[in-house]
Amino acid sequence: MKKKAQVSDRFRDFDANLTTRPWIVLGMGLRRFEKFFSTKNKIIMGLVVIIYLWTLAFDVLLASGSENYPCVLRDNGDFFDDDYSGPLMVEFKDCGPLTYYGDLFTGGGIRILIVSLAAIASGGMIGNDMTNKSLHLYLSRPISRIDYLIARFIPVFLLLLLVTAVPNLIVAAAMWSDGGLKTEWITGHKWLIVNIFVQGIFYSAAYSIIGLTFSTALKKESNASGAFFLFVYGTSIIAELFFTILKAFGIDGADGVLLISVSHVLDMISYAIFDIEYYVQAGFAPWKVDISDTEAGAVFTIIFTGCCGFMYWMILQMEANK
Amino acid sequence: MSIRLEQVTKNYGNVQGISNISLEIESGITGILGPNGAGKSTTMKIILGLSRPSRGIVRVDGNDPFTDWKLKRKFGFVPEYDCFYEHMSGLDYVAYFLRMHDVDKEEAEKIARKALSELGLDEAMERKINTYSRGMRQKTKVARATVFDPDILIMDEPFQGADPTTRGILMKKMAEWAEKGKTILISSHILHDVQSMTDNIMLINNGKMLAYGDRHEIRKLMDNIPRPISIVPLKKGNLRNLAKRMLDEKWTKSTTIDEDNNELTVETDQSEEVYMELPRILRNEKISVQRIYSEDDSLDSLYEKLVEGAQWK
Amino acid sequence: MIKATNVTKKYGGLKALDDFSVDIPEGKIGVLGPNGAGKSTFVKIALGLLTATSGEITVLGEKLTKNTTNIRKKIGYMPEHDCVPDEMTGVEFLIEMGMVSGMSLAGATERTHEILGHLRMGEEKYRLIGEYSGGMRQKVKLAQGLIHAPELIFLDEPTSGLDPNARREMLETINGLTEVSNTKVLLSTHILQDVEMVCDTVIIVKDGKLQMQENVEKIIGKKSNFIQVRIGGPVEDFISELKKKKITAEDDGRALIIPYKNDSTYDQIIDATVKSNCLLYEMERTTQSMDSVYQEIIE
Repeated sequence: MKKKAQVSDRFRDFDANLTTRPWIVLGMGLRRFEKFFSTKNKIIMGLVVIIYLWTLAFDVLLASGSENYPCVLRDNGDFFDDDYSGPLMVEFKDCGPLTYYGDLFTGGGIRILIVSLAAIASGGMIGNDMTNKSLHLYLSRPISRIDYLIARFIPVFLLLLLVTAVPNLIVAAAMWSDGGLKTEWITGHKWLIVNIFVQGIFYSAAYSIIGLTFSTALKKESNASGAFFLFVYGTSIIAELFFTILKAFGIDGADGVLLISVSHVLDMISYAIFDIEYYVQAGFAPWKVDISDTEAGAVFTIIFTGCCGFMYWMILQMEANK
Repeated sequence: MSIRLEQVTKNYGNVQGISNISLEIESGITGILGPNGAGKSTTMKIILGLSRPSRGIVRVDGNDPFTDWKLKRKFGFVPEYDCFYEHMSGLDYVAYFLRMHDVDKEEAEKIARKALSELGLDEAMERKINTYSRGMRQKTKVARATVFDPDILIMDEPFQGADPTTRGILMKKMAEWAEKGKTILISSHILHDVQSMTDNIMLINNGKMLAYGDRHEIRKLMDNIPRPISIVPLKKGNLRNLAKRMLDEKWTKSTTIDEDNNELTVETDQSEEVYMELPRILRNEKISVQRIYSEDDSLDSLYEKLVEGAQWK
Repeated sequence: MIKATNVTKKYGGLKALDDFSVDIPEGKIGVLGPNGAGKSTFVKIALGLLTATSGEITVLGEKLTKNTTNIRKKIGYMPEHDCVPDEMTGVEFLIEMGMVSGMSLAGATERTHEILGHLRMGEEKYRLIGEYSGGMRQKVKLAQGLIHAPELIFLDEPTSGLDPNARREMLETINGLTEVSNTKVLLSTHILQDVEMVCDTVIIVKDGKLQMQENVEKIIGKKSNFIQVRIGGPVEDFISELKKKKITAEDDGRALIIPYKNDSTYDQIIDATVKSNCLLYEMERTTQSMDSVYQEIIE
């Protein structure tokens, strides 16, 4: 009987079977997101864990029950004369989902943790690709420059969503179960749930874009993270300081100072989403702020388009040079 | 000016640089070849007196380059890596080095200008170095190294990244300098360039010197490796006759006929004999040939054999 | 393969490509030219990464006007400079590049290991790229260009900085991997012998303009009117033997150059060798070299 034998060729033809752009971009983003949870990124995981523990402890276990959720009307009337009309607010709404994004020291919010997380996660995202020049290789693939930016935006955005919208939804769910898991609760709070989503997406997207811009501009991971943190937190502290001083002296136009702080601008829009009058917690007292939503929106639009434009330009520039 | 190395070994801690190298380099161009990390740069640094051998003796013109400072003036060195003041123009850069050697300002600029323009940097010399292409950078480095008219010129990968025109200019210049009696040492990965400049090579691998001297002579010393000699007759019909005739000789180990290229290849381990006898046989048999050559004559082939260690098998 | 008509590309006032027209046939093409001649710009435009200021360009039958991303499915690109990330392993990086090209995880993994096998990368493929030698980084760079089995690959200085053995291996792999899958090659280089080894057509670019387009074999096969002879033994006698035959041999320091009249010149050389008792190491009609053609065009 004849036995069969076969010798393979050294090189063979290969059919790559390529998918389309949206899937490539999504895949790139998700793989990068997955990487945040590898054992190498201990700081990122640690921050996420702290944020969750914090939320569970203060907003679920120690919270005062579903009847006060989401907003409590606080009245400082005792401290004021009846005809007071100064810069402090007599009555103001204290909303859980809003104070969540506030300052640790004045409102019990976790902004500092979210900003740190955004800084660390976004720092090397584009900068590293530029330093080791692998950006050229990514751009020689069948994706456009914008696709690349989206693919790098997705992981940071998802990570931030995980610490913005998700914990707030968990709190909402906890309150629902506290209230007896009634369907009326859901229908009564449907706008709240939508707003929590919109607000989470808004904060996550904004911090991601700004973080990526710093990464693009400074290239070095640690520098970008540091600069991003200082930029967001530093301007916030300076703005608040000036605001309080100017207010205390009764100077008009003090409110405008807040527009130099990114996090305050974001808060203004976030309050607008919840349709609540914006105030600043400074010196443990709520201050009225007289800035219209359109003004805040305009400033935000400038920052947002500026960042996107800058990143695109930087990538374009790098390519033309080499 | 002669360079002499006697059993020179250089170690960096427990890392080997070069080991037990002995040779004497005369004037003219010598190509230093070898894989990356073989010890080429170490050899150059030792000759330049930039580092002291762990063992052995180095003599340049009879003196030790590590201790004899006067000798430094006779060296021109083109390092592999760029070492510019990027904000300076090429002209200022070269002139600056001249002035460090006590040449006055105007004179320095004149000499620098001449050196740079000889290398074809006429337009670019006033521009800042950070706008230079790789080729221009290499030319500037060579200009800086040669502007003092050194007797010994040592160049580490001077052609790297340079375009063919730049390489052409540099090679021509080197040939001129060699003609003037300068000693030139060049390392290069582009064997074709080395082959077109010089037959004199030094081959290092793993810190060990594998061979030194005229490449044809080196190949002759490796007669244990059979050498293929190819013959192309004018008339194709003679191909088989010639092959048969070759098999009559005792020095023929095997013959191969390549009908497509009209070529007969004889393998032999007594090549000198073949080179002597072949013309006689051809004349007696009245076979006209248009080409006699050996694949093994190229530097490529020699390099491959030596680095593989074929000479020891 | 690539057709450009009157392509101009300006950077500010600088013209990188100036009314550049070329019709490159399918196959393996070498692009030569001095630094800053516009080679890189041309490659970038053909990749759809840059748009020409004016003019029209067609790559692999597709006009590059608006949809420039899809063309990159069919093209691989190996840039000149070092651009692989240190903090990934070779395999990780290549799989990622495969997937960014649109391959599935399984497909990318299979292809990665196949290519790395051809490139003779052993266990080190699982190590971090940061620990690789220059030659290995170069291999990874080549592999990422071929990973998605493109129809055409652009190679920018693939052998720069490699030692002779690594260079030969690189060129052999380029030849091997591209021949079987019939991948077309556009090789831009400064080393003319690379072009001889890989390409069948060569184009020369200078000052943003096409200077020459020619078949490689035609160029290097062109015979000159001289015979180069290398002789051992009493060379003086050989020269005087030739003189008797009214042939003057010129010594260029390494070989004798003898003018070629007709085929009988060969016989006379053989005769002179025998009469002078010399050894005949080498005798051949010299051919035009790529170097001389290049120099002629550029100057």
